[in-house]
Order: sequence, then C-alpha cells, then structure tokens
Amino acid sequence: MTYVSLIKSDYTNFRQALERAVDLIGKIHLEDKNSIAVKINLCDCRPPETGAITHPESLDAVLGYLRSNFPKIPIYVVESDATVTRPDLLIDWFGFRGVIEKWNAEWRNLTHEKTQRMKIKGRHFKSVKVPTLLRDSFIVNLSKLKTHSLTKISCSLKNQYGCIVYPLKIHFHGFLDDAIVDANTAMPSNLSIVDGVVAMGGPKVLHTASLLTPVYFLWGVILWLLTRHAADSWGSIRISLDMYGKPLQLDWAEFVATL
Amino acid sequence: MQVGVIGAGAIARRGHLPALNSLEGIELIGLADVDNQALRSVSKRFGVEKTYNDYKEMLRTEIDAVIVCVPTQLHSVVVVDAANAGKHVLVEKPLSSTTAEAQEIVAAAKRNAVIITTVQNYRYFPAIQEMYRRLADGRIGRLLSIDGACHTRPPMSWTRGTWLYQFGGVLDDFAPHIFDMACWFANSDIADVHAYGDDYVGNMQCINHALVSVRFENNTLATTSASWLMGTSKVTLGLYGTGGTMMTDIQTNNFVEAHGFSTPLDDLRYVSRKMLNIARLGLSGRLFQGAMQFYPKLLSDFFRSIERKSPPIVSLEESARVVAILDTARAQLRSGRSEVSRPAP
Repeated sequence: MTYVSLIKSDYTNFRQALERAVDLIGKIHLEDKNSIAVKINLCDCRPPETGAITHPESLDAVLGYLRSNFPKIPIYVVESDATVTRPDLLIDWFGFRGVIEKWNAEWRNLTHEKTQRMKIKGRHFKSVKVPTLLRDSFIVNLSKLKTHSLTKISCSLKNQYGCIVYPLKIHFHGFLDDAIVDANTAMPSNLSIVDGVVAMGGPKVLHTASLLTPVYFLWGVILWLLTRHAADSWGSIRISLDMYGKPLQLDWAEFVATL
Repeated sequence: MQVGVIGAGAIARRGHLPALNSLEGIELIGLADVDNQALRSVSKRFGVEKTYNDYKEMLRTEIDAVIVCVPTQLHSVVVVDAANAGKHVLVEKPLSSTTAEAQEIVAAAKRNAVIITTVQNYRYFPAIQEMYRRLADGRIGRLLSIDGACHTRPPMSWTRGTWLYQFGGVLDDFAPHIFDMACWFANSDIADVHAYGDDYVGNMQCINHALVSVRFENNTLATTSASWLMGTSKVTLGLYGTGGTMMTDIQTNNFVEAHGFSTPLDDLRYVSRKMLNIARLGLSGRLFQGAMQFYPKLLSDFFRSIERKSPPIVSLEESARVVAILDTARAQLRSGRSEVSRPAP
C-alpha cells in the first residue's frame, strides 16, 4: 500500500510539516539499507526562489529530520550532471554545501560514482547504469512541484530520472516519458517528498519551449488549413498560447488545482 | 594554406575544426593542447595528423596561420608568441583579458607584420549585416543609442570547463559580442564606460548580472544588459536614430525597422516574421546552430585577408575597444566604484 500525505507549509515550519507528513504515512524503516541518499533537483542553473530547483531550506529540514532519526547512518545528498547544469558548482553557488555540512551529510555527484549495469524490462532501455551508492541506500526523493514543457508536470518521477548518470539527458527527450518510467524501474525511491512551497508553473522550463511556440502555432494553423480538424489544431495553438500565458510562480493550492 | 589550431576545447570542436575541414585549399596541419586525452580524441575525430602538447613546437613548423582557442586569460601570451613566430592569428573573442595585453598584441602584430583578428561571429547574422547596411544608408538618421541584451544561462551546456566562472563572469561570456557590435555600429572610439553589476546569487564569486553603459567619442550611447540568471536565451540589439529605430532578435535572425510611432501593424510584422524565421530555421536544421553556422564564412574571410594582404573584417583596433570596455567594467565592479572612467586608449 502506498500512502500520501499533504501538508500546508512554508519554509519557516517545513521541518514540522515534514515530521507531520511522515507521521501520517507511518515511520521510515530503512530495512536492509545502511545509508540514505537524498536525491535533490539541480536540473537548471536558476536560483532556488524561482522554484526551478530544490530550495536549501527544504533540504535543511529533510536532512535535520533524517539526522535526528538516524544519527549514525551515512546520509548522501545526490544529483547527477545534466545537459544544462553542473551540480558540483550549483551546490556551492546556491548555498547547499553549508546545509549538507551542517547535518554531517556528504555531497555525491552520481555521474562520477561507481555504477553497475542493471537489466530491466524497460519501455525504452534494456538496461540502466545504477550507481552502487543508490543500490545500497534508502532513497529519499526530494523533488519540486513544477511544470515541464514536455511532461507537463515535474515531481518525484521526473526528479528520479535525474539519477541517470549520463550527463546529456536531453538526448532522451524524444522518449522522455518512457525514460522516466525506466529510471524509476531501475532506481525506485523509498520515500518521496514534494516541495510545493514555491511551485513553478508554466511550461517554459526549457528555453526550447519558447522557441517551439511559433512552431506549435504554425502547425495548428497548417493542420486547420489542411484538414479542418478543429480539435487537433486548436490543441496545438492552445499549447503555444499557454507557453506565454502562465506566471512563473503560483500559489501552491492554485497550482494543485490546475493539475 | 597551412593552418594549426591551439586549444582542443569546445569552441575548437564545435566551430573551428569542422569549418576548417569544410574549406577547400586549407590544410589543417596540427592541433596543440596540454590535455592529452582531448588531443587524442579531437585529432582522431577531425583527422589531424600532428598533435602537440606544447604549442610553441607547432609554431616552429611551416604553418601560415594559427587559430587560438585557449581560455581568454591565456590569449595574449599565445597570440604574441604566434605573431613573433611570424604566424597570422585568428583568436577567439575577446582579444585579451586586459587593455595592457591588447596593447602588447597590437604591438606584436605591427612588429611582425602579421594579421591578427578576433572571432566576432555575431556580425555575420544576416539581420545584423542588413541593419549595418541600412544604418550606413541613413535609413534611421543619426545614430543616437544602441541597446543590447544577452540573457543566457551560464555556459554549462556549452563547455564543462570552469574558466568563465572567474571574476568577469557573464561579462566575459556573451557580452563581448554585444560590445563588438556596439563599437561596429557606433564606429567611434570609446569616451567613457560605466558599469553596474554584482554576484546576485551571493556565492558564485563572479559577475552574473550586469549593466554596462558606453559613451563613444561621437556621442553615441550604448547600453548592454548581461545576465546569467534569467533562465532564458535572449540576445537582442536595438538601434535608435533621429529618423527611426531598428530592433533585432539576433538568434532568430529577425529584425524590424520602424519610423515615427510604432503601430500594431509593425508589431504584427515583427512577430509574424519571427515565427516564419524560426520555422524556416527549424526546417533547415539551423535553429540550434546559432552563430556557429558562420564559422566557415568567418574563416574564409580570415584566410582571404591573408592571401590578399587586405585588412581583416574585425580590425585589431575594434578588438582592443571591446577589451577596453570589458577591462574598465571589470575594474569598476571589482573596486565597487561606479564613477565614470575613461578607458586607456
């Protein structure tokens, strides 16, 4: 059985909200795992206040909670290189290093970790390189509540996709939904925490989306001219209009209501 | 003509080496880099026979010209060495880190009678060329102001190198393109530079958001807004004259000229042109090539100027002006003093 708890919070009481959220779904049992890996989201080089990446305040609360419950267990904060970011730089630039050190945790870039190839019955991949560190750890997926130009929503499943160690993950965007499923098949998280205190709305997560806007628009017009298929053409035009129509940040309740 | 490349990093791999291999009459003789692994893989990929760990060794061969693709901090040393060895030089932008280094390069070029020029590929966008022609034709009257913006992400998708995250930061990334075009359009020496900017994140320890104003000696004003923090990719330039304006979105090669009051029809024309341009670029496969598509033309121009002993497209004086703006802006931001200062000539 999978349980979900939803707690209203801001960053001043994130820790209490987290404790309550975990209490509601039951305690954390590490079972046979002897370490904890907290997968944060540093997929874009944008400051945390934009909602595009993990906020140091939420990481602080999560690490504080984990450390108080598991004082002697190694805790790793993990992320991998991505097409447009280098998390090794971002943890310093955006204030994560101090938080990690404060709770006696350790920063690990998965791209530079030892891996083992795991065979899966995936939708796209037949095997995935799994970092040994993740295989041996209880995985806490600390994701952001935000939209994405391709998947529409980017929460836990999309964040777990960031565990793929290959840096140029943009190469997988042609089959992104399948790649996300495969990443989660090979490296499932044990606990997912979605930080929606600052949610990011609007599909313009990638600048390519704004470049594609006129393409969607033109495609809609061409479809209508060629086939008079109103639904598809209006759908394309609406996607293009949506790309300009949403604010950067939404109130979390408003955001949830739009999903 | 025999050519060597110094530096096997991203700009060499993505710009210069493919362009060199596409040009007739050009022999790519050697590649130099201190990184053995990069040297091996890049030389294999582009079919370069001779590789060198020490670029000075390559400079002792019979090559006619070198292309310098090392980090900016190393430009002056490598370029002066190449000039002293009698080689013509095409160096990535900006020409050098400091005005003093630029002066050394200018002196080396004169002393050795070689051509030294800088890569300024943004000048090659047809929209920019058209704006230059129209400005020269007097279509917008006397040029009063130039307004440029380069809002991009930090160049992490471009290169895994970290040398750009030094003090100048965003100023050393895209801003030299805007500074160069401003100097080119203004066609005048620099009178004053005034810079604002900071590390707006707090921990990057380099300038990531800045505004630089330049007054040229002919009284044309130019402002450049440069930022790494907006999560966007926007490179624009506007020219404002006594008789009209010209605006361009450089990466989509789109521009509009307007006179008097801008009407909704002008806006519609701009937007519809932009959409058509993007569709056209998408269909031709050049949408994401950006300014890299002009490297073959840029290299051809460099080699032609060597063969004909004619001035290069980008003169050393123009390149030195860009360095002067950068150097002055960096100095102001480093000292925290925002008073107007006059760059060294």
